Amino acid sequence: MERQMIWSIVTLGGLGVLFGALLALAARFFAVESDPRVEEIAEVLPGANCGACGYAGCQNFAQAVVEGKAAVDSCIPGGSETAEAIGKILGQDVEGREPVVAAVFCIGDREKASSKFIYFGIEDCRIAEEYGGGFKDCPYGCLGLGSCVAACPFDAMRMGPDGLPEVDRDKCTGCGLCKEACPRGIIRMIPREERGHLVLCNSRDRGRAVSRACQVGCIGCRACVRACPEEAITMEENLAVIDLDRCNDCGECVPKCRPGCIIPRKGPATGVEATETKTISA
Amino acid sequence: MADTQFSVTTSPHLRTTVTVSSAMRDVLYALAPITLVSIYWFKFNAVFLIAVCLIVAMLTELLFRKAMNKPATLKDGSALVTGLLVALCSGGCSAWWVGALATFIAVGIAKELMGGLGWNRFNPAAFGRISVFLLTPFFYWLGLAFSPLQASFGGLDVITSATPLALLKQGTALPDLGSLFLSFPGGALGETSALALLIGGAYLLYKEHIRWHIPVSIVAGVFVMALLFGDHSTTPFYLTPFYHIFSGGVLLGALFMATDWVTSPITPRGRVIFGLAIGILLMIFRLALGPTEGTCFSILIMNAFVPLIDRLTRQRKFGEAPARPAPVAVKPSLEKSS
Amino acid sequence: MAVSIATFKGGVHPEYFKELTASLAVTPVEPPKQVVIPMLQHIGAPCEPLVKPGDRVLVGEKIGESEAFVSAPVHATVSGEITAVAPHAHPSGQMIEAITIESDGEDSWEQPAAVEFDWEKLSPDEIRRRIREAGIVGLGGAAFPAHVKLAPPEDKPIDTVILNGAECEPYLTADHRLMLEQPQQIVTGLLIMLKILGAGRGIIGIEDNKADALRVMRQEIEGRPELKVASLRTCYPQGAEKMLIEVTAGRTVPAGGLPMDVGVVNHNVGTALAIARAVTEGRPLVERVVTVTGGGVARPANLLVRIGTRVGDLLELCGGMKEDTGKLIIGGPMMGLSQPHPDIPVVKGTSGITVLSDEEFELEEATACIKCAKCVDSCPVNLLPLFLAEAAEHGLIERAEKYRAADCIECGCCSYICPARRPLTQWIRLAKAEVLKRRRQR
Repeated sequence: MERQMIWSIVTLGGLGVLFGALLALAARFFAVESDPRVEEIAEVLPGANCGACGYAGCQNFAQAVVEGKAAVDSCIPGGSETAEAIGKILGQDVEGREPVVAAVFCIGDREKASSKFIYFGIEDCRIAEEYGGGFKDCPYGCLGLGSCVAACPFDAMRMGPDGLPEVDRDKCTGCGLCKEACPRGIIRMIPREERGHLVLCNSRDRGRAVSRACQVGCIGCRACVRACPEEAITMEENLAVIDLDRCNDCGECVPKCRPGCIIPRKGPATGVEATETKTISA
Repeated sequence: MADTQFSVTTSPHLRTTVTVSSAMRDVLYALAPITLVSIYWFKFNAVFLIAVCLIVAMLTELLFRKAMNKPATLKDGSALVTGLLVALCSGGCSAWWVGALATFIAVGIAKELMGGLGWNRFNPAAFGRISVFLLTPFFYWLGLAFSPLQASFGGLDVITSATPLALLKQGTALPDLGSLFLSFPGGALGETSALALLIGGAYLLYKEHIRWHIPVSIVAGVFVMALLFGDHSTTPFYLTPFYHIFSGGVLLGALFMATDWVTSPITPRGRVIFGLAIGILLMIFRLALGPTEGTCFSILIMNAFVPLIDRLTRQRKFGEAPARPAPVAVKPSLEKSS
Repeated sequence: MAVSIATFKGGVHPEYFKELTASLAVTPVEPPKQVVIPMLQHIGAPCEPLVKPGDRVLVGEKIGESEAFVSAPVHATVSGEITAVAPHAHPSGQMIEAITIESDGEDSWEQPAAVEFDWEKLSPDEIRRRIREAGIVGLGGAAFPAHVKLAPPEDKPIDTVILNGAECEPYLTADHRLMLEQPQQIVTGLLIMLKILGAGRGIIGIEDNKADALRVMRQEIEGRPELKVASLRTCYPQGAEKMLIEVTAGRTVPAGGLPMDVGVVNHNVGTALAIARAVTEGRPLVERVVTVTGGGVARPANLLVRIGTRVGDLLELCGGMKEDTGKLIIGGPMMGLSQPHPDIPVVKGTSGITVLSDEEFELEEATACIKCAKCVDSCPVNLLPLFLAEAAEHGLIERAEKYRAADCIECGCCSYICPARRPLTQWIRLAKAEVLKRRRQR
């Protein structure tokens, strides 16, 4: 018995050493010449293979950058640091982009936004959108089936208990894949810096239609526009939009908003429970 | 109509009543006859072994599901089926901890670690059984550690645990074919009655959970191989194949293990290839190597080829056959009349 | 009941529930106060409205027409005033332009223009023209314009016309009742089709669960050697075009091909009836038989209904929906479309309205595929639904094409049979749509 065991160990071990040696030799003799800069760039990339740059993975992107096919700053998850690092390798000056983060522009959860019917089938927002134009009364609101969550390569999104996706701003790299995945364009990329107020509604419908479909939808009453001392709020297609560059966080608009969909990105809660979650701080 | 909300789904809007759990329940029903026969022969030893395997199967599934943060799927009953099959593959006098270990490997490693029911490449029960078989040398030490825990229920001295196949190999007296078919206590729990296995298999066929292709082709493979290469010295030439079919794990494997949905090919042609290959491999194991575990080994080996078989036997499309030449229009009788 | 052996490979055996309405004679429904007539009730180009709000119309007056060959005109189905020409919810789930007519209660009909009603004296071209003018489409559900199928190209001679009386959809009994009540008209329709196409053989395929219909139709064709009634085994989807041709005529339609490629034209029995009436009475398609059925409706019925009637009104007529109604389906439960609300009109292709109570359907979460291959065994067109759906799920359209997503007939057998409750048909349908879209782009 013991002899058998020793023999098998010797045989298998010997085979392992032999194949290892063969592989090492093969790697040396059949090595493919490649630009060393590709490897260097691949080193500084995040390595998540998220595909946000439009290439299949980080290695392909590195290749494309070296060949001049892709812009040095197209790696969004890597941000300005990565862009600078790549620039250094390639000997180019790079201006960093402003870091961004994803934000969900809808707070009409299952309770607050009514639905037309019960959808049951493939859990995918794009597909659900095809059935009767989506099951929510609001044609602009979040369907909550999590196509964005599935699209996130960084585990930065999850579906909240109320049927709305939440963004973890610490993990979000701003790659924008969730934005692409949303059939209703509810997710937008906003500056990473936690500053300013947001109108967390995506509805372009007129006031009456909005209030019929959702308790917390922007009804386009312009009260916030009038209230803003900085003139930072404008109406675009029945929807109030706050210019984050102008907003000084005075908060005058918040109490004026009847449905309560204006939310400060930072600061105390303003009557809407959702403010405390990470969704809002985005 | 604001108060009624309809459900909107795609067609079809009807579903069959058969679900994964109901199908697994049917498999358990189908295994009931052989379980009862084995309990009849091995008395409390069988009851204890089966109970241990079932409990370990469920606990293992719970444990792995919990550890992997997945919802528990005990409801689907697949763990119970695996546990019972492991028990039935074990010898009547096996130590309970060998069964428990086999079940743990079957459910935990062969199934849950592979991603759970549906994702496993290898038949869990066969995998668990073969694992402990290969680990046998280590049981020497393990056995020492466990011997104080060995449960013994006595009263089994009368029963030989040598399988008919071992007898066949040794050339000693054989049970006659009739008793082998009806019931003969030798070998594993699940090998005690060909008849009970056939009853269970017939039930599964009737319920359309399994198709005839795999069992029939396995048996056919065994039959032909036994006829050609079997040892005909102790039995009449024409009976040898039947000894091979009715003894050992052939029927248990052919009806219950090789037909496992997850690890068998999906097309009818693929199933036939799969079954024949198992039958032939099984006989090679039996005739050339040892008398035991041939069925589990050959099932596991063929499990590995299932993706390949599936790819090679993709069904011909409907209407792929060359279209007939367009028929010449028959002069209609109608036009003449008008 | 004689069991017929004629069947195809695969298929499933859902419970049929036909007894709800099978013995109920077709009841004509009073013309409704208001009808909504969509401009698209067929496969092909939508019609342009010929009227504007304020116009007065008679029953049978053409109100929508299209220049395109693959299209069918639509007609007013009540007399009265046009009140709106605007998009309206349609059973397909889309908003489609529709004409709303407010009835004047007179129900006055437009006089048919044709003078010669003896079809045997008419030329094939004249018959075809009348069929088109009457706006007849396939009444089995697909709603393909009838005159298009009856005008095959020169190089595709047709020798066989198959009438589909299989009605393999569970619950529905509209065709069954038609065969019992108007067998003569159906046979006339079939003979007209044989004449137009110059075909020498007519087959009526009926599933063997309708023994009375088989008997009645057999009596009706007595003395006509060119006609035959085929008894088919009850199995879904026995009435699917390709299955029916395979079983009754013994010919296999090539993949991607049409029945005319094997010399066959296939029509529903209801279409045959409509053709007979259009040709021999000059009557346009303004009404059809609709089965209102299911456990969610108080009094199931077979109704003769004006096209454009609100589905909600029909349900009211049948005693309304029960409390536990969970699903409203236009068509049968295997291939019908479930609707978010009942404010939709009956269109030409509406063969049934199935209202399912909560007990009659289930919403069960899908679990992992266990590769049981029941979908493979049940697929009537030899696809591998589990692999196809997997490819679609991962967006692998090329692979889905390789697995022949385009050949799927969307019968739903795979989803029906799946013990893991996976939405196979839904995935495959998506993949098929994507594959066909890409093929058109090429």
